[in-house]
Amino acid sequence: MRAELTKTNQEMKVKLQERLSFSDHTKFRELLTSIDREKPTHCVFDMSELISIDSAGLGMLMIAHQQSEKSGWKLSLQAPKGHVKQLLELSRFDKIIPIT
Amino acid sequence: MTIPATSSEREHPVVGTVPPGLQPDDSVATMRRLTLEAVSQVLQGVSDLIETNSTGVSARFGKIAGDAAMQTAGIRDLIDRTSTIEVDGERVALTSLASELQGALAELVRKIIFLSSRGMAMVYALEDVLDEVQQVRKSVANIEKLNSQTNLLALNAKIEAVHAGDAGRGFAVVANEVRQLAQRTNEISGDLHQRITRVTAGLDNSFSLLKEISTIDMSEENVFANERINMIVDSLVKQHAMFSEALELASVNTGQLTNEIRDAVVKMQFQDRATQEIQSIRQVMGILAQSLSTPAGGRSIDAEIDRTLTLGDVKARILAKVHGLPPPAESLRADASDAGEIDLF
Repeated sequence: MRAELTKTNQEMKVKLQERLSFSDHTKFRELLTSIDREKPTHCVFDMSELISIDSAGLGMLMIAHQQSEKSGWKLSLQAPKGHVKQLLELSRFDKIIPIT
Repeated sequence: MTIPATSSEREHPVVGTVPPGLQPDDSVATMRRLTLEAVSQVLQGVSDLIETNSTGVSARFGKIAGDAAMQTAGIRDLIDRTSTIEVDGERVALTSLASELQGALAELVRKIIFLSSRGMAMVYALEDVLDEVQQVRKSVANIEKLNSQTNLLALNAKIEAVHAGDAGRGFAVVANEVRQLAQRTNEISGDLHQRITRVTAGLDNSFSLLKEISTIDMSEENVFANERINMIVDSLVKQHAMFSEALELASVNTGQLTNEIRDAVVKMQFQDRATQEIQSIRQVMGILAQSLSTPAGGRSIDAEIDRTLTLGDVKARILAKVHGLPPPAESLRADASDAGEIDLF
């Protein structure tokens, strides 16, 4: 996984690239810490360049959701594609995290 | 075979009215009478033939109508049955099967994700514990470092006590005690070190177990399996719709067939009417034959017809013809609705 963080005003954008799987757990936790540090109101995960995701990856997105609720920012997912999109639809992820 | 009795234009081919004053020759009269009787018998035969056959045909048609109705019911039942499948003793509609399967699969995936997210949360909690353990390991290392210094200090104190001679004897005992304490501390910290190593190994093991739980395969194949299920169910529903449509058409056709056969059975009832009319004709023939054997002194033919015939409209038509009047209107007939069909016969 690679992640690019940008911040405009109170909104953060995280562009996730390549694959999100178990081996990224340390990086992902660091990413959540970085977001928390910035104290945004909103954070958008741009999924358009994420090629694949496994159940651990989906689990990490759930943790991001829980973290956002704990830290008081809103999380949304943007433009998932292909396999990632299908898996998010299959698991009805949009009922937990807004997908745009 | 034609029975021209109802045609008002044609002359009666068998008998006419006997002109007054004209006495027929006896042998001719006998022949006419016998002919009339023979024709009357033939008519009776025709009547019986019609009755026997039409009864048989009606019965068969009735049976066909019954079979067709059963077939319609069978097709309807088939449509109902094929629109559902039995799952664990419960009828489930094909159309709801798709959403049920998709729902079940989505529920399964949701549970996997829930499990994964719990697993990941645990991974993070374990990471924190591992960090703490590392801190403990560092603290133990510090203790060991301090302890070796203490040990060294005790040794120095002992050397200094020897230098002090008798005055330092008591001090040497204390230094020895301190050294023993340092050795005990060393043993404890060694034990701690070993235990920490085991805890770390245990945590690492838990870590890899959690990795197994959290990384349940969610590859393309699984998504494809879901799509495949959707496609199969869709095809099943479509095929059933086509099947139902064809069966529905068959059911409608069979239903129409049943109705038409029933109509035909109703129309077969002309036979009753025909029998009655033939009986009337035979009665008239009987009167005519009678008039030939007793030419004088008897009742007039029309009076006899009027007295004997029971079928009102046939009587009216014959009497009208006999009296040279126009034929009575159709509405006078006993069963106006059947009139046309019976006339055609």
